[in-house]
Amino acid sequence: MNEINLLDSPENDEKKPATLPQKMAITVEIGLWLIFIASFFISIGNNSGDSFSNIGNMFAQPQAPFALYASLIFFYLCFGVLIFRSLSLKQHFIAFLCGVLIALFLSSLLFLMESWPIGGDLLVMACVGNILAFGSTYQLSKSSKDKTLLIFLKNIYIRTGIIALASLYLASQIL
Amino acid sequence: MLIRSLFVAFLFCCYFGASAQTLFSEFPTIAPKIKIDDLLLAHSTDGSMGVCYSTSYQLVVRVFDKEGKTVYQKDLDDPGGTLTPIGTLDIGDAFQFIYFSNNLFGFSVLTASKIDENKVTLTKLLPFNDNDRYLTSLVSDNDFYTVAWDKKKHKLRFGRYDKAIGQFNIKEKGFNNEIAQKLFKANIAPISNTTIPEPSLAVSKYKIYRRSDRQLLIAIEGESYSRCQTELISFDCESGNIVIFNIGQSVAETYGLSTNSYLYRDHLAAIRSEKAYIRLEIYELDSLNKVREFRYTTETPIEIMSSRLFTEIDGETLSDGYKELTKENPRKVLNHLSKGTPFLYFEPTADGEEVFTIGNLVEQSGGTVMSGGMPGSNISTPYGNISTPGTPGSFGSYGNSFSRAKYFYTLLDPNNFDIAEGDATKKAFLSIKARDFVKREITNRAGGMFSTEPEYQLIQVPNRQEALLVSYLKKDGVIKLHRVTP
Repeated sequence: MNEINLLDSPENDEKKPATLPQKMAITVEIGLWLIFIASFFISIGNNSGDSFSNIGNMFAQPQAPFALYASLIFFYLCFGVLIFRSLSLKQHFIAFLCGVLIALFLSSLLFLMESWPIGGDLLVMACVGNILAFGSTYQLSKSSKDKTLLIFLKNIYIRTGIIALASLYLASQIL
Repeated sequence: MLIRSLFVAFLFCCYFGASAQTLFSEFPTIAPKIKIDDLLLAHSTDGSMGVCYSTSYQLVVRVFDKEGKTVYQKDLDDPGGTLTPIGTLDIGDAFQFIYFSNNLFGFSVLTASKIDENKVTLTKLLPFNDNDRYLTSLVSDNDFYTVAWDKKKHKLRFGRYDKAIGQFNIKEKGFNNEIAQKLFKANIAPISNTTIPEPSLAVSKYKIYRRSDRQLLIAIEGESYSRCQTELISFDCESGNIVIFNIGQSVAETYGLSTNSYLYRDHLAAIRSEKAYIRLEIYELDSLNKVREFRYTTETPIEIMSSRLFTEIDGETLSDGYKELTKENPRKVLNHLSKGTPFLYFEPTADGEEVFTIGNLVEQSGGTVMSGGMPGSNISTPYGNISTPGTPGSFGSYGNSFSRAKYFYTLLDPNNFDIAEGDATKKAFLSIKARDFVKREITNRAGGMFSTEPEYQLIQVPNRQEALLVSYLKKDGVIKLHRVTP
């Protein structure tokens, strides 16, 4: 009878937790950001005087997390699909583009900090790309009845929005 | 500086929150690529079958021959809209499906030709405007009625399609009930306004049967105190009296009784899908006892409980039924049957036989598509809509998704489908003689729908030349019944 009951029992797999690669990717991402922020505030703490009020100068310090920046950019470029937990082909595509977008924001900040050329251009490109991405995916989310896609896009919106806001703020401080 | 730092820290905290959500929360499983929202079947006398179903992107018409092979297929795209098949009309040799298009703001008649002609003729009819929300429809022998709700004026609008003329007999827009009565000669009078007594269920689905001219049976499946329940409500149209039976007790520990069922000769045949089979249970309405049970598998048309479940599904062999099945736990195989939309209906054929169709829309293998009910999605049959299935516990979740549909198609000998004399509980009163069995498969694309709006159903009362419009508001548990006299 046990077998029959087992067979008769309903399925309960409507939701799934993150897979191991996804967990690893997201954990590494959070770890990189934590190290980045820690080094950021440490760099703030190590400065004094007028420069203490200039966040841009903080980033320009020798201990500024250049390697972390590069790691984050690389990570978003390569593992966007895992980080954003995309599920379908359409979501994979959106996740990849979102990773490129965030990488573009981070790259623009890096270029601005290092006073390399086209830093501002990259930032403008990222902002325009963000607006375009939001516009197109917002239409998609409005027309779609796919609850999975809506949750995915909501997460994407939050992330890109925060990155865009932080990038613009930090860029204004750097410039 | 502190404020700036806090601002930056706040932004990062928000970002970490979003990251943590992706890390710790349980997302719904993958959005399906393939989904069949609504399905219409039509049989012809030569054994061929027309199928019309909608996806998020298109309407598909397929014609199967007697052997179950697809002999014709036509995909109709409607970008930005949803095409919903709602009824069939008998026009002789061809399959004619009526579907509703949100994008075109109206009804269209789709005529799919038979096998040898290979053409589709579209006739567009526009009785409604873009303020209308399609509610329900009824296809009778000579007429096609439809009802829509005017979202701006908050009024019901009725349309009647005259098959002889080939168009709706009203084209005006924005008419109210008074004009509708004048033009359609329809009397719309509320009969009853009944609230379901306690325990009120979080209703996941319902189905309405017409047992007699004055008696309706309303099967409601839902949750109460986290337990699945099924109620069968007998509704007297004349007096408004209701009697509530709870017929799902015997199976309520695991499921509520599926409302994917059919009322046939004072017996309620209820069907639901389980992990390894489709279960068909026959209830006697007078005593509400379960008198017979069948189990269907993919390969064999009829299996009784003790029989082997199945031996082969799509090349995956399971040899010894229950034990090996549970020991090996071939989840991938079980998904073939455990997740799907079982449906069931009877249909008379031209030669006097009755076609008993039992089917299951099965999701794609791989097990990544979630199961569960999706209120609002229906399988349309000539005898009314069948709610999509799923356990009541999955109410509110994103709904069923299918890449493949399988239909089990059995012709019955009506002489064998009768009640034997004697104790029905001891004798096998229901004898299904399978004379033909054709497995049909459908593959198409996906979509989804989630509706929380009130549901409406139009029920034909042929002897009285009237129809009953039943609205059911899940939120309040209120059933409203209207009589519509053409």
